[in-house]
Amino acid sequence: MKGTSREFLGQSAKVLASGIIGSAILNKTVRGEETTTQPSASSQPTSKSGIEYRTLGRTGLKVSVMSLGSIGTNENTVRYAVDQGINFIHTSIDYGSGKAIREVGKGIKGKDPDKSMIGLKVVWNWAAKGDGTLDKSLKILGRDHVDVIFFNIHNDPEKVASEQAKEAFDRWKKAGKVRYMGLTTHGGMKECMLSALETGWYDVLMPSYNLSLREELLDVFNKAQKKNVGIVLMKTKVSEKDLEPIPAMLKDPVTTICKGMHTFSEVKAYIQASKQEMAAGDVARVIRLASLRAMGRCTMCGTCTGACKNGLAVNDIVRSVDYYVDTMGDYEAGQEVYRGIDEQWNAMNCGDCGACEKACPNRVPVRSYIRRSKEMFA
Amino acid sequence: MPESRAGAILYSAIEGNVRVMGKAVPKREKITSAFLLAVLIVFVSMIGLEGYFRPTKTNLSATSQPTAVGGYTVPTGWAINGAWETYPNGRMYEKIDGRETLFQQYGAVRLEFASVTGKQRDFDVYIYQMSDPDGALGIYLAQVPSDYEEIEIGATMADFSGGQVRAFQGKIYLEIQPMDKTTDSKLTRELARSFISQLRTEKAAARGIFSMLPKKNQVKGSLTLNTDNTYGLKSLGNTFSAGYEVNGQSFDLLIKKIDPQKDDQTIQKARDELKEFDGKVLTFQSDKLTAEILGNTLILVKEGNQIRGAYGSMPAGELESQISKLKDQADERK
Repeated sequence: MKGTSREFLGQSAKVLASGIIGSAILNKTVRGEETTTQPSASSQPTSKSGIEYRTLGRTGLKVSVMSLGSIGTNENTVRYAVDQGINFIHTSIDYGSGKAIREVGKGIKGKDPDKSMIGLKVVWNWAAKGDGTLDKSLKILGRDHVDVIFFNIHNDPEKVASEQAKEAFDRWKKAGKVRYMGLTTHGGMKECMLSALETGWYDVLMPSYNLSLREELLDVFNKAQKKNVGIVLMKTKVSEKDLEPIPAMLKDPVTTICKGMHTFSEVKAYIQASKQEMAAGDVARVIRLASLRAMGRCTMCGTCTGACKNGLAVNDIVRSVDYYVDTMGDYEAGQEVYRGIDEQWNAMNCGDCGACEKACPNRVPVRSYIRRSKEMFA
Repeated sequence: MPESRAGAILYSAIEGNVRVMGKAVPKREKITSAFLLAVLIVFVSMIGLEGYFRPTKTNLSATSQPTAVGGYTVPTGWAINGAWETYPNGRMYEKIDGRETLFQQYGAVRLEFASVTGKQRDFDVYIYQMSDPDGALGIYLAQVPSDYEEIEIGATMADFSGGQVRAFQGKIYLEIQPMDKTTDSKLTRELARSFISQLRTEKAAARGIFSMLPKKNQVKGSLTLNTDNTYGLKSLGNTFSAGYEVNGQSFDLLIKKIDPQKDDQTIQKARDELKEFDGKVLTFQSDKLTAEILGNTLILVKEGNQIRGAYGSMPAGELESQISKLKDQADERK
């Protein structure tokens, strides 16, 4: 039976509309009261490990729910992780004095760039210095571009909104060296992320996070989701029970959790943890436990930095000891973080007034960490 | 009659007429009493001088004063401010609070510290004695930044970076830190060279298992102590590796120290790990493993107190020959 052209157009419109609506329904996954954008089943990458993939906000990139942090990793572990389906790797020329990015470069050699996407962190001043460091990073990685360029800004929402970063990004994007703009932050995360969302420039946000911060940051994650901005979590370890909170964190509107992985067994363990089903009651228990375990520990909120009369980078100083040495057992990484602090803001300029400790909402013995950092790294 | 005064007193006490409560004391009882008194004096003396007999235990007691040993001298024109201070393992935190645990991981035995002045500049000198040269190299590699400037001061390895000199020789790890960062690096090096030249022979000459890795064709900066894993394999923790380039081909050589008295399971664990994580075991015996992992070949051989290994994309036969060279070197040293 032949229909009229009007009927044909009408039918086509219905099919098209139902496709769009259907796709929209497929792309929504109910997560409690919130919804998060998910890729349709047909567009999901596949992997031998069966790891889940989520869409990284408006970038449209389908990234594995566990992503690879490169500090302390090695070429083999990178290759193994990619083979297992982990397709997003975060690195920087700063990590391990360049060792981390070299290992990533060797590990992704010959790998499909779509299956080994790169998030590259740059420190703030690089934009002012020019493109040299980005070019050097690309050369080490053996790539002509990185997928996300992360500007690394803490405790300074104004800097997040500075045109300087946007101009650098636009220049690099125009040159085809970067695809999307991101922010890494591990101090004053809430303010920095809200500032980033306000600008509308950032496609991806990467905060330090653990479940003890959920109450404070969940609202920001929800706002990011509404603006279709991807969330990558980092520094999620607060205790030896590092795997336990992963399924609970993935219940929230986040895209991927970035973990440093050194061995094949760690890659496997993190992938398996991400696939664990967790009942609502267990999620609540894990969140409560995380808050208890975080008591007396630095959550990198940045309050201490704001309280310091000498303007020291207090939370970076504390992070170098509390997170890297005490939690991760990685002295070299702690040393590197400390050495990265501008000399005028490091522990040597501490007047020991105690304002940081008084201000800390978690009652962290901040002065003790400052003293230890001096002994260890200064 | 004895000639000495003490002897005369003792003689008169034994031979003289000693009376207690009006009764004369027999000679046998006087001898017994003198003997017991002597034993008591020796016992009290030992308690009082315990620190000399058991210095380590005393050092761990409440005293906060480090023991001065003064083991090293400074070049002409230089001076040590005060005395050398010694901090044994367990008390090093008094000098390097926060870092002691790290040094303990590599087997620190003690720290000797001095403040030194020369050419109107002040320096802090830290000399760490480690339990073995592998630990000394391990702590050196853990401390040195990857962008270090290698220097020649007579040590096995030494570098100048961040204004300070670090060096490693035998069981000793040395750090020299100028108080003023603008200090001419030549001065710091001169001081470091002086201390390295004074290292006691047995400490300086000690060679670690890592020294089995040939220096010829070794890629600069590639010598590594892999503490928690090697190539992603946990079974190969605490293993030294170094990269080599020979005739355009790259490969790594490995060496790991094991206790020959114990039934070391490294090779079995490596096999299990390789099987679990997509590796392919080609041959396996309790003392030898050949496997493929991620496109490379790994060979491990156990013999005596060590596990030797090679890793690379070269054919297994060629890697085997590289391991044989390691074995030859080991035999030469025997």
